[in-house]
Order: sequence, then C-alpha cells, then structure tokens
Amino acid sequence: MQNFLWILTQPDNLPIAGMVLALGFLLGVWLRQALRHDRLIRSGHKDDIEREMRR
Amino acid sequence: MTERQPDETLPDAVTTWPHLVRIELLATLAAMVLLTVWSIVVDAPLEEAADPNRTPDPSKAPWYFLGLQELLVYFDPWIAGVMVPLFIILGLLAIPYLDRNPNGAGYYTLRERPFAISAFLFGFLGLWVLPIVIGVFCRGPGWNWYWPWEAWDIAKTPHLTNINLTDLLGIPASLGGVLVLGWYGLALLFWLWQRKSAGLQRLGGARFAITAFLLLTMAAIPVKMALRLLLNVKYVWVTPWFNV
Repeated sequence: MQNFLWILTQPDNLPIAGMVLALGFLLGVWLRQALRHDRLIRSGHKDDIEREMRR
Repeated sequence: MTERQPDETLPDAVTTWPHLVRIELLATLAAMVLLTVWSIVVDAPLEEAADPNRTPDPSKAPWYFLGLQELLVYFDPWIAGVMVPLFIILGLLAIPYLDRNPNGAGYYTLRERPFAISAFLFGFLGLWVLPIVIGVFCRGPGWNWYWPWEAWDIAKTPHLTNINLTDLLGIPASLGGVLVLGWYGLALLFWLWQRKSAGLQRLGGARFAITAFLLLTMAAIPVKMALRLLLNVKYVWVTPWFNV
C-alpha cells in the first residue's frame, strides 16, 4: 500500500486524484437529474423540465 | 421559501455572442490569473538532473499521457500512438453529424438516450480514464502490474510467454486477418439483420458504416487488453508490414 500512497501524494498526480473525485461527483449529479427528469417525462410533465431548465 | 418562477418575458434562445463568449472569456482570464499566481508561488515538482547511469523504473509519462502509454502494452506504437488518438479526435468531431437525435437536448435524461450515453461513458470512462488510472496506480517497476495493496519488487520477472492468437488457436497465421476483418464484418451482419428497422433507416448507410466502424474499433480495445492480460496474446494479426 505504501507505493500506492506514494504515487497518490506526488504533486504531479494530484490532478488525477481530483479528476477521479470530480468524475464521481459530476456523474452522481447527472444521474440524479436524469432520473428525476425521466420520472417527469413518464408522468407527462415534460413542460416542467423546460421551465426548470430556463430558470 | 418561495420557488423561483421562470421569467416568461425572456426569449427561448439567445445568441452565442455575446452571451456565452463573454462568460467564456471571463473564465479564461480567471484561469490564466490562477495559473500565473500558482506557477509563481509553487515550485514545479521536478526531480534531480537526469543521470544516464540511474534511469528511473518505472518511467512514466505525465498523468494525462499515461492512458496512451498504457495502450502501448497492448498495441504497436502506430496503433496506440497514432491511430487511436486520430480516431478519438475524428470520432468526437463526427458526433454531431452521426447523431441527429434531438432527444436529450437541453435537459438531462437516461431513458431517452441509453445507447448514446452508454457509448459515451464507455469511451470516456472505459477507454480514456481507466487506462490513465491503470497507468498511474497499477504499473510499477518493469511496467509490471501491481495492485494498490502490493509492494513493488524491482526483481519481479513474471514468466510471460507472449503468443499470437492464431498460434494459441492452432490456426494458420494468415487467418489473423480474417479474424480482424470478421470483427468489422459484424457491422455488416447487423445491417443485414436490422436494415428494415426505423433506427437504421433514419441513420442511412454511410452514417451507419462510420458509426459501426468507430464503435467496433472502440470495443476492440478492451477485447485486445483482455486477450493480453488474461492469455498473454501479443498479436491477433501478424503480417510482414504491420501487426495488429
């Protein structure tokens, strides 16, 4: 594990750790929104989405 | 707390200039200021001067190139370093011309665009981010594979006997070309099977051919990676001029 931690804490590698964390967060945000919008579309409230996106 | 209501007096669409370009210009200036201050305040993490008697092992490219360096394990340089980046760039440029489906524009959805979203996530996460993560975290001395919990061992010499797929299968080497061309022939079979479907009618022959070629090329990369990692397969198709 010490080699892994050494790699992780190298200054050059901070961007990749940041990228992995940011990807997880942003994919989570997208999935939450997508599932919510899909629910609205299925229940016939697609207009609400357009109103929401224009706010 | 009252919910914000949309302003019905606003137009449905606005022009890119100046609305978007102004914001992008401000973001660019902010990023330039941040990077300038950062580069003045923090020293670059350089190592000691290069010594030809002490080459570092492993020698790793900067993290953003490590995905391509990792692909060199599985493909010859003309594929890993030239063809794959070329197809990535051309494929990304072609997306607006290949994908004419207006669903999902302006809002989030999973149900309306499952194929497009899966293809994008497979390409971005599986073929771009994952090889970078493997190259950064799973490659140690001798470019051998080390799991994060494994200690590096500079004396590790795995007994890898690389073998071509045709030798593994016990078939003539010339049939390697048939395997590669047969892989792309899957697109033709799919076309013959589904050519009457509404989706393929809408797509048309030329767009289908380009899309299928790009998707099959994308899918071939993890197949070759698995062949190399699990069965030590070096090449699928060997010729006097090039190897795949």
